Amino acid sequence: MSDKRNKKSDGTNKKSFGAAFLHWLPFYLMGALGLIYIFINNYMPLAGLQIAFKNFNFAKGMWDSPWIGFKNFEFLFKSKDAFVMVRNTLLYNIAWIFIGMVIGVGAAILLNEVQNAVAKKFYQTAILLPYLMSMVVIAYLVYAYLSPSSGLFTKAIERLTGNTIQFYQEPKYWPFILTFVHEWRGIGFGMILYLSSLLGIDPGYYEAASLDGATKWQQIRLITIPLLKPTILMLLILNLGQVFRSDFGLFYQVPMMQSPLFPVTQTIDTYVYRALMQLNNVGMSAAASFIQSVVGFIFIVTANKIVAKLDENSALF
Amino acid sequence: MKKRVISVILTGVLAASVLAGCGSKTEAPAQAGAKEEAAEAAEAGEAAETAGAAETAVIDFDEDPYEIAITIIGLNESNNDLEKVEEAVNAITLPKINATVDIQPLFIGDMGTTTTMGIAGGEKMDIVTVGLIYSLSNAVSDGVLLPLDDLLAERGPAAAEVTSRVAEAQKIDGVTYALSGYPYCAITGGIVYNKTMADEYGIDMHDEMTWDELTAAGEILKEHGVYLTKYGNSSQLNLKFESGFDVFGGSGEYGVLMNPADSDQIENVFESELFEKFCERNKVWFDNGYLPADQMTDSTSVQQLFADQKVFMTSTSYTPDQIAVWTNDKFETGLIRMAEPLVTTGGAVEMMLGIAATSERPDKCMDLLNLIYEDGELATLLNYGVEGLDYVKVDGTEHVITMEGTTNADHSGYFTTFSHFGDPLKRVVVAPVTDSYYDDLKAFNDEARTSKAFGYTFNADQYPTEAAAISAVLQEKLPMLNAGQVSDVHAAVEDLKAALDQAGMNDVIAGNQAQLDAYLAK
Repeated sequence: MSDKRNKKSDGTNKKSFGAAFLHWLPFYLMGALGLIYIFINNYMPLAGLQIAFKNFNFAKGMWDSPWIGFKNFEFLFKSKDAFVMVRNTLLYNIAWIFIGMVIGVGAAILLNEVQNAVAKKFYQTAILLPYLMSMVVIAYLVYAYLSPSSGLFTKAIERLTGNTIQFYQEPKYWPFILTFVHEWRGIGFGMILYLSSLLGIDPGYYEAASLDGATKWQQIRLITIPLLKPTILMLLILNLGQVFRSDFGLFYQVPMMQSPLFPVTQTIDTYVYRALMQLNNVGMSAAASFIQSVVGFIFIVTANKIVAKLDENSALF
Repeated sequence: MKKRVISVILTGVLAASVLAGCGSKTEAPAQAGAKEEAAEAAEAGEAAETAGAAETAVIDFDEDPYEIAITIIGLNESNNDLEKVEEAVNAITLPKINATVDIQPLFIGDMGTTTTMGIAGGEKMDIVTVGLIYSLSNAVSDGVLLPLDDLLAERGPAAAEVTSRVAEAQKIDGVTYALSGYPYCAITGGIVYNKTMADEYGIDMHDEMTWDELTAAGEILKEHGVYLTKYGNSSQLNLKFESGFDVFGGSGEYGVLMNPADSDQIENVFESELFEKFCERNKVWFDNGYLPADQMTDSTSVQQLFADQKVFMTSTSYTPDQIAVWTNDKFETGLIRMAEPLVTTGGAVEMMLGIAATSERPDKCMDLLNLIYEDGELATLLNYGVEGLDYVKVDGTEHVITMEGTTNADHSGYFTTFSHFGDPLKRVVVAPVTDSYYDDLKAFNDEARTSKAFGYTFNADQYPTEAAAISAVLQEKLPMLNAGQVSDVHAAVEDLKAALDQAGMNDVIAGNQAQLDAYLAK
């Protein structure tokens, strides 16, 4: 083993470029695989962006379909729902990014304080489990609570107050229901990165702090949060890139597709689905997706600029 | 040292294999380009072949038999007997047209994507199904189908004859692209009901019942704790099932001929008095408790509720054999019609067979299509599978079959929910339809009036923006009106009308009218 190591350092220090290249070749090849993957998966499909500006025809193919300018984008703005869906998409996303951050960091810190290793694993799994559930299943779980004829909540409220709330016809409750469902489902996944960052914090900080008499709260406020800041900011910036997209299953399945709820459940994705369900127009769906990407890109760049202004080290690029 | 050499080799091999994978992926656009040439070549080949065939038009038995891929459309049935059906089909096709078949079951929801992607990806495709959820006009504008007129003239006399009644509807801009699965295509709106229950409670169900009579039936049923029907969370134009409309687009989004046999005036059905009355009727039904209170969120289908005897009736299309779809071993079903039978383009293009633009042997495909229309035994095989295995003859009848008592009773052997092959006057019928079906079908079609717009298909290519916006409006505003669950019908209908107008529906209808007028002027 030690023999090998010596050879390695000898090779890189003294021998010619060719030998050094040969030495690192396996690593280049390994890296190349990743680059090739990214090129194929993330860069080659960029050519397909042109579909958003074309009258796509299967027989003619992507390259030979005729250009039609911005016509594919019109349907997004033709409806008076345009304002509603953009408002819903943006407000839910921005609210959830911040709520998710607070709950995620909180849950990670709490879980990190659990000492028993078995209990810790159990809690982590239990919290993560809903994330693995299909939205259709979740929709029926919610329905079990809110169904007008047999829902657990509906019936309890009926017994207590004498009123039956028609949850599936009253938009005013749904911003809260959707937020609750989203956080309940997403929290396990949202805290994983925070938890792993917490595990990376040197326990020495805490030992020193407790020796100096710092309370648990002070330790969290003055050690944990500042050390988590880079992770928090990174996730914030990345999440802002998704700000014009929405969880289709959540907004489509969980409200049971009820039209009276559209004012608070219609997002860009559900609108595009509803509008194009029968039409199957590839160009128009590409156009919707294109706008989402462009807006996401603008948000990421802006957020990164702001972060860089405040704290240069925390910016992504 | 050895280890490292191996790792270098392994990495190299891995990289090479990934690159190879990359190669085949990058080929895709090139293939798409080549595909068009292939299509042209196929057309040229077909032209040459049919030119040759014009003199002979005989089957070449010296060549190797060509395998024809053909789709059947269903709901993901297991089709365990598929190979046996193929064997039985081949036993007919080999001696007659020197070809074999490869039957490919396809889920109805995947029709459009599987067909277009298959064509674009250069997969082997021969006879494709259009209609249902992938309309003939879409398939033609996608470039999926070969023009059939020459082939039909030279190799398809039986197919041409059987489909002659609907020949106009099989054309787009004067060119035939597919053959109808409904050569006798008269259809109308109807209601299927629980006859056992109707007899028990003394409800008189008869053809063309009025809405008041149905409401009275609802009251009787309510006393017995049965719902009249269920509308559910649907954005369909349910009114079309209770009327004799000729509807453009699934829910009349491109307009409706409200008196199709007498007037070629395309109207916006949502602005009609009848539509508002229909919504008011549904509100009465809901308010009176004839419809389930949780119908909007309960996703149990009305078909299921009907089979479970929770609801008394539901709308359906009406044809002489439609009753077979609703048969149930728990109770007797009845079917009434709500309007005059009508021959429309929509009825004829509901399910069709065409030849893929990329098929290697369009001539063989036409031979098979022709044989399907000519040979009742082959049509029966493709529709219902092998006798004795997938179905049995009903004793004392000539042409009536049943799947009861076979392993196919649960549709696991061979079953296609949506495909219809061949001449309905030559293939068997499924009980409770009786031997009188052939006469009934002819009589029904002879009695039917023909829509002024028969043969015409609206080309909506210029209106994708409007179509998308209209579809979104209907899904938002129509379900509550359909279900009768709005507080003020008039206000809700006004709201729907305003939203549809803003979405451009009246512009689309004007465009449709202009196209129809031009078609009729020819």
